[in-house]
Amino acid sequence: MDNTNIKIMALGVLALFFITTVTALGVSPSYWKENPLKMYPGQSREVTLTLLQSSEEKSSAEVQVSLIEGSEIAKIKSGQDYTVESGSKEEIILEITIPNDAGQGETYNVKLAISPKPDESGQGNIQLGIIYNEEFPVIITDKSGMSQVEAKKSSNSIVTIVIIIGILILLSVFVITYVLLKRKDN
Amino acid sequence: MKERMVWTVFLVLIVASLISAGLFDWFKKDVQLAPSEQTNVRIGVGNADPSITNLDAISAVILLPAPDTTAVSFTFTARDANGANDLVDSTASASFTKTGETTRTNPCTFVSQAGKSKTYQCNVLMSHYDIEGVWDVAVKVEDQQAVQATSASTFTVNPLKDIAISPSQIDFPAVAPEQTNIAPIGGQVTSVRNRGNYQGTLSISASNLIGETNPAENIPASSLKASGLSQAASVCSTGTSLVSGSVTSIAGTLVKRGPDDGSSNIEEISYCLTLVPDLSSQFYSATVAGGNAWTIQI
Repeated sequence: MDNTNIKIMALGVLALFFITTVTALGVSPSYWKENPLKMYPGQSREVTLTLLQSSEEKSSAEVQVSLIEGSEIAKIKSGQDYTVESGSKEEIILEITIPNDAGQGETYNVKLAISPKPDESGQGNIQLGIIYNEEFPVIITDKSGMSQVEAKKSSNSIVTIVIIIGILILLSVFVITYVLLKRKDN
Repeated sequence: MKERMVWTVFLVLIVASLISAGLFDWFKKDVQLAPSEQTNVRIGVGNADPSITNLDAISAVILLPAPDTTAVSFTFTARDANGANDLVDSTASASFTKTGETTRTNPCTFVSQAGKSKTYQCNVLMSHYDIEGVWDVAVKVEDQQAVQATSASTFTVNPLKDIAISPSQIDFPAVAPEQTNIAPIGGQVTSVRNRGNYQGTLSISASNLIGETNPAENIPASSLKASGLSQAASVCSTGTSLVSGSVTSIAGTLVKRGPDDGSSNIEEISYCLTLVPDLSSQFYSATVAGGNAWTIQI
């Protein structure tokens, strides 16, 4: 074993005395693969992802967010850098805008990489960090199709009103008939 | 003739209404009339079933990471025709259910009364590892006769990715050129603690280990293998070879959802340096000369 090898071992042993945990954070999206976002051509809306720092963390987390896929419809409105205090939350706000010429049934994919800033105190040959990949599909639906659902609901209400009016008319006819017959008898 | 027909139809409508309303029941029991003598009029008002008249919609739940629990708060209103005081506050409760998941239940507390209605506040605790998706919520309250009013709805639990890794580095001992199958110092593994409800595999984005003195030399990331706990013993042979600059899914890894008890939500990554190339004697590490830290990705 030469001198260089001895130095490497000493570094390794020293590193073991400073075992650290990578400060993690939580990421909670509003939409995901099984819960896709549905929008119609020309529509624009905001979507949030929540960053959470566990109450057991003693320090805040420095977080960087970047858009990996879906830049044709999405942009990060709330900025790329965040500081999440222990036991608190921050929101990443995405602005999604669907082009007017997007086809019904078409699907876009939006993907974000969310990375807590690596711990600078890490030692050793290989330092480790964490990246959360969050992605969700955006499915293009027909606006008029959505309107039809609303229209069906309102047509149900109209049917109910018509039935009630019909019953009232029937009762009125009976009352009028009764009165007329009564007068005739007299 | 016409008159008789009109009267017949009218009579049928009236009788049908009275029958459906149960008004003839009056004459079966307690109301007895006699034409020429005084009588006691006695009407027995029976127990009316309570009902839930309003159950608040529950917004999508964002779970808090372990070790915290998440209190999901909402209210419901119950009505009893016998009067609000016929509702027994101590029987008010709410429960969250989903197939395959632990049911979350909690009593609800009385908050206000209006007329014959009472409103209850429910705080149901959910854990960081409760699965994402649509859950059922059911509320109930009983009256003095133990007749139960129930109502049900659904709500969504959002996914929560949150892992903590320890230690934050991998350390290899001194090695010699052409040496094979070297484990990290002390059999060191990366412990991945799941503080959320994610379940799935882990990936690693690796990079070459660059010479600190002479950056022209490096130990390629492809010389290292990684595996999950299930393949820890054979990581040098069955582990997944890493690729510099690429995200590689690690075979045999499984991030489990579970209580934060030190084992139920822990996965471990083992490493093996399969072959040391013919290199000069110097330090090699990932983050020198513009190199990047490795990242564990979910």
